[in-house]
Amino acid sequence: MSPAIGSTPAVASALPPAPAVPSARRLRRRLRAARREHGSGRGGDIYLVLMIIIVFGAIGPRYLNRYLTHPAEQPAPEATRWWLVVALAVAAAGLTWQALRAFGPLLAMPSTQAWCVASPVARRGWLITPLGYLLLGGALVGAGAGALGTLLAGAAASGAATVGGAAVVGAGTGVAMAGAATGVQTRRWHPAERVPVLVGLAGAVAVIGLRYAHVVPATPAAPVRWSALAVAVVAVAGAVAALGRLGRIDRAALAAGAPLAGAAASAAIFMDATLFSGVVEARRWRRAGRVRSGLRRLRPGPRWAVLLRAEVRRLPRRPGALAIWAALILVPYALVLIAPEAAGAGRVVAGYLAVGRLAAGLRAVCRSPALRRSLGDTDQRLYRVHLVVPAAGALLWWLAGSGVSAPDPNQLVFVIGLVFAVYRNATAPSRAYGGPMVDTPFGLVPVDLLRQVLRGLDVVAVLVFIELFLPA
Amino acid sequence: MLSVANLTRRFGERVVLDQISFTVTAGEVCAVIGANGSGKTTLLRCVVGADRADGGQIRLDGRPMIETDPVVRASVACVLDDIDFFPDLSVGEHLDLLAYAHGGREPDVVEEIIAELGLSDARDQLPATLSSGQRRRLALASCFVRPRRLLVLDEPEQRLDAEGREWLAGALLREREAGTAVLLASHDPDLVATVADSHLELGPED
Repeated sequence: MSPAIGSTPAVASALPPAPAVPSARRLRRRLRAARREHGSGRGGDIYLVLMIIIVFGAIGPRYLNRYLTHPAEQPAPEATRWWLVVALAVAAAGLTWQALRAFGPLLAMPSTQAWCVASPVARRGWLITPLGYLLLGGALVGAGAGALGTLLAGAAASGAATVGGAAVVGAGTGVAMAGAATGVQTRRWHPAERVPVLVGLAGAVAVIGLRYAHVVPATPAAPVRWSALAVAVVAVAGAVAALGRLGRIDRAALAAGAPLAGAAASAAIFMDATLFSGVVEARRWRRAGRVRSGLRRLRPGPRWAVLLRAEVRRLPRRPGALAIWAALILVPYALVLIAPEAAGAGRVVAGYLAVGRLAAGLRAVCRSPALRRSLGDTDQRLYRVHLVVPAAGALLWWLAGSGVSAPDPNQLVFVIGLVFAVYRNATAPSRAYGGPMVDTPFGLVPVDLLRQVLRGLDVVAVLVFIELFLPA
Repeated sequence: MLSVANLTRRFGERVVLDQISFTVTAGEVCAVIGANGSGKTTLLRCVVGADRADGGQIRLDGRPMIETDPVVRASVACVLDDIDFFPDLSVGEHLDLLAYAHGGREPDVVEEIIAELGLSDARDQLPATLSSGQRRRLALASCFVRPRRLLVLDEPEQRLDAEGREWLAGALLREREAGTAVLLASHDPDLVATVADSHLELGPED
């Protein structure tokens, strides 16, 4: 007998019934229970987080407290500080947006990708809890930033209402940004998203310029009530947008930030920024893809000249590094306005960070024995050639920041010191974690790790000491 | 040209290379063969100075081979597993840089190698965007755009397609004719049979 027309339902009913998919909540609960059973509880995680907060966050509050309790050390007028804080806030918002987009903001680490995200569990249900934490984190960080900005601007005297209002505005902004970043998570990064950073930096330049020209405009009006209302509306809209998109965030979008998050965690735990910067750099070059070099080939010449030309050619390919180098010139000027007693030390630290941005070639050569072998010269000569650009950058940087103090040939000590610090940092041998340990308040730490972390910073500390305690 | 005498390398209790001795003369291709884990890569790493032997001597033209010696660096071109690139230089720029850093004056050499290795379309690409096969080709190209007297290659056929392997065999034969000493480790019996004058077999003794 031939099958009758319309037999499809009979065939379909012959298929085994689809297995019941557990809810995301149930799956998460089981996962948590299994982990608890195997002793991988949260204790260790909490300890690590606390340690990182203590290690990296102890200096800031102490300094802030000192700053707030010494009003005499705030000579810049309130208007200047207000505008500086506004510029800083815009730049910080831009950088935060960039970070949110780079990390996800919602992300799934490799194990979660393989075992949970790849399963048919409802995506929306799986992501709703992380989104909640993300929005809460955005609110807390935003509130903290808002309050801190008000304090830095010297508005604490205006009363708790001003600080509280700024915290509310900050919290709303944080929620809005986190929600919006989640909403556009599946879209590719667009270079225009960097605009807030550029606006903030331009604002800082303008404020400093106007301050020195003594034409700083009046304090920006701060209609806190209306601002809070507007930001609340935007925050709700951001959160709603995030909720709406939650079920459509695909595995690719969730996986994109995982390597970066893993590298950031490793870098924080091992206090080794290169673990993070390496991943960031690889992502950047993959995004760049190719460069135009066909028409401008390197020219033959002595080895040092060829290497130097290649080094100079690579400079504009790192516009971010150049921008940071240039932006850090503002730091000593801003510190003179906000915290003059810290301007000298801040200049040294900012100089170290700025010059380090130009030392990518030096770091590449120092890090890679294979590169040194192939380039065919002694290590020392290769290092020296790749030190030319950072040295020139250090000199220019220091001269550009010299408006804060009278020209002094003795300042050359700082330029040489910064170059030496960067050199020491770049030539640090690779880390070994198996050597002797030292007992610290944060537990046992490998001696080699401490030595590596301090390499370069030790020279900076000496320079800061000279700046603070030795007569000019 | 290259002489290795009583080379020993241990990892903890395990002796990977035990009193290995051999020589490679100019114009000779010596193939190091053996199973995985027999110590081929370790031997090559010790020869070029990427790893430190526990005992024995390695000499180039009768002088102790010291990796940091500029004469050694000028003479020895190698492709090992630690090959690295400047992340911000393109394929073409890497090869130009290497050729000129070794005193090369002829840009045509770079162009020829790029064309031979099928890297023309990738000339302006940054290393991070290359496939593993293209990275391998770039690494090999880096050896052929610069002067060399000793070529040390660790499994150079890896990740190469059939066309690439054919090119590699031809290039090694040309090196032999030009008087370059070649020390290569390989798992490809066809490549070894085509280019090698001598063999050094590593592995547990029966």
